[in-house]
Amino acid sequence: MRLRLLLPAIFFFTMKARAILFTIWSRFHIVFIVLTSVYFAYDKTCRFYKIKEHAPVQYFYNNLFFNAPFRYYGKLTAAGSPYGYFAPNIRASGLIIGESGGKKYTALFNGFEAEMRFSVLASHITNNLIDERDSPNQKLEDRFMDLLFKSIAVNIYNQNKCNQDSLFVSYNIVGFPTLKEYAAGNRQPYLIKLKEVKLSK
Amino acid sequence: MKTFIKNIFKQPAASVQNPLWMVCLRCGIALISFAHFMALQPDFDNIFSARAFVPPDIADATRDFLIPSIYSLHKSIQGIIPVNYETTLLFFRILYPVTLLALLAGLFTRPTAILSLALHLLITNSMEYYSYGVDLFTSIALFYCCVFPVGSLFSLDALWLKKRPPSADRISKCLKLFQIHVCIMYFFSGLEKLLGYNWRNGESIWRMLHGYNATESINFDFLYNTPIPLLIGWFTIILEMMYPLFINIPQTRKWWLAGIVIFHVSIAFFMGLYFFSSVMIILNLTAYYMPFAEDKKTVPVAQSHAELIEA
Repeated sequence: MRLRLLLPAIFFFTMKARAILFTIWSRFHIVFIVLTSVYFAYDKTCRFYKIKEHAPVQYFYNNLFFNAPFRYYGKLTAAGSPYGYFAPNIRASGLIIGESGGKKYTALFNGFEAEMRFSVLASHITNNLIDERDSPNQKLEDRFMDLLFKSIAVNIYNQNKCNQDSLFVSYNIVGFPTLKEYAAGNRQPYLIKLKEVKLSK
Repeated sequence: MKTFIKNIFKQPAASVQNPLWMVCLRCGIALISFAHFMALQPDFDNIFSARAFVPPDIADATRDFLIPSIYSLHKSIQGIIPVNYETTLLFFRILYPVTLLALLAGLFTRPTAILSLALHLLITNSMEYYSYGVDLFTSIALFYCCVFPVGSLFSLDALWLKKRPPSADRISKCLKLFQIHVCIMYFFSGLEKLLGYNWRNGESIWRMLHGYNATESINFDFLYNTPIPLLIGWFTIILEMMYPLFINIPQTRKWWLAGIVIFHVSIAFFMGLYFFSSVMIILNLTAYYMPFAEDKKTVPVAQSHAELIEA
């Protein structure tokens, strides 16, 4: 008889405790998402308009919010990332082109998804080349990028079965005239070469 | 005034909400993630193998160290089990789609959801240079599959393990959290666009249609002389920023939902971001279509904790 009363009571309190825990956690989760989003919106805007971030804001986020365990939490729950894709501005897309013996080559793929991902890689690299950086590890980062470029160059060379002894791989921005420029008669798309590496056998 | 605002945002009572939204979340995200991973298979070696465009040892040098990559895991286990990198890669290549299928079927739902999320993060971290929006939103959806009782309906767990249906109160709380997250996502996405002047003068739309145009056969040059880029830019900002407001008003919900679905279909069509758009549509349908769908005759849900005890 006592057990018959006790079991539902335990069940009820366990459910109740779970419900309370869920409510507390969900409130924390929402606050976390909002604070992360606020910071990323602020950070992106400062970068876009080339404004220096306020030191206290930067300190708060970098030393407290983006540190363990919050950083782990944000990464594992995907709550610590910005949502403003293509904002505040759509950047020019990047293009990787190989050139050997007067012929132009690109990376070859069998499916559209890999092509899409490769264009993301190209944009990552071009953004890296465009962005102003003040990293203390600048030289090391540049050497790393060179390594990355060469690796891509080797793959393009092998994929396209190039007959020549050397291949040039360039990283370009695909530009298109702005609305104003286009209206003024400047209607040709253009490529801006950011970097070129030479691969020799 | 308070009553007026309350009436505008009045949601159906927890017991009237259709719990099938959890099935939509589980099956939708499992199916799309599976299709997404399969779409990568023809070029899997070009992205992950030792002969990839960015070889794993190079990619590993700059990855986020919070989560391991396939390469770093391989290095860790190599001392214990002597396997080559390609074998480790094959293991994850098989395991991930299998867990997604198990999640789709609702077999040991919570463990498979946790495993799917872990594998998804591992794989995404292994190709950090190639990752884009879809990977983040998939992580979000898989995370909620781990937290919410998504395996309690139309699943093998419910069929074989005779799982008790969750209380309507619990389902409602989960739904509320999910809806708030979706609203925050759209609001900040719109806000960040508003903060840059290129979305306000139509330049971003113009650039998108030329730099990211997946429909190469359609020429959009004629738009320069029209206010269309400007209008689409503002339409995007308003649609996203006002999402939390109008999607929560019952009278405007279906129009806003239709607007956002059209917006994502356009992204898929014009920019070629098929999987990204599919994931976003699933998130929207899960949050604001399925809970308000009327047919609930086949869905057993306990009304409250007290009723569960009675049962």
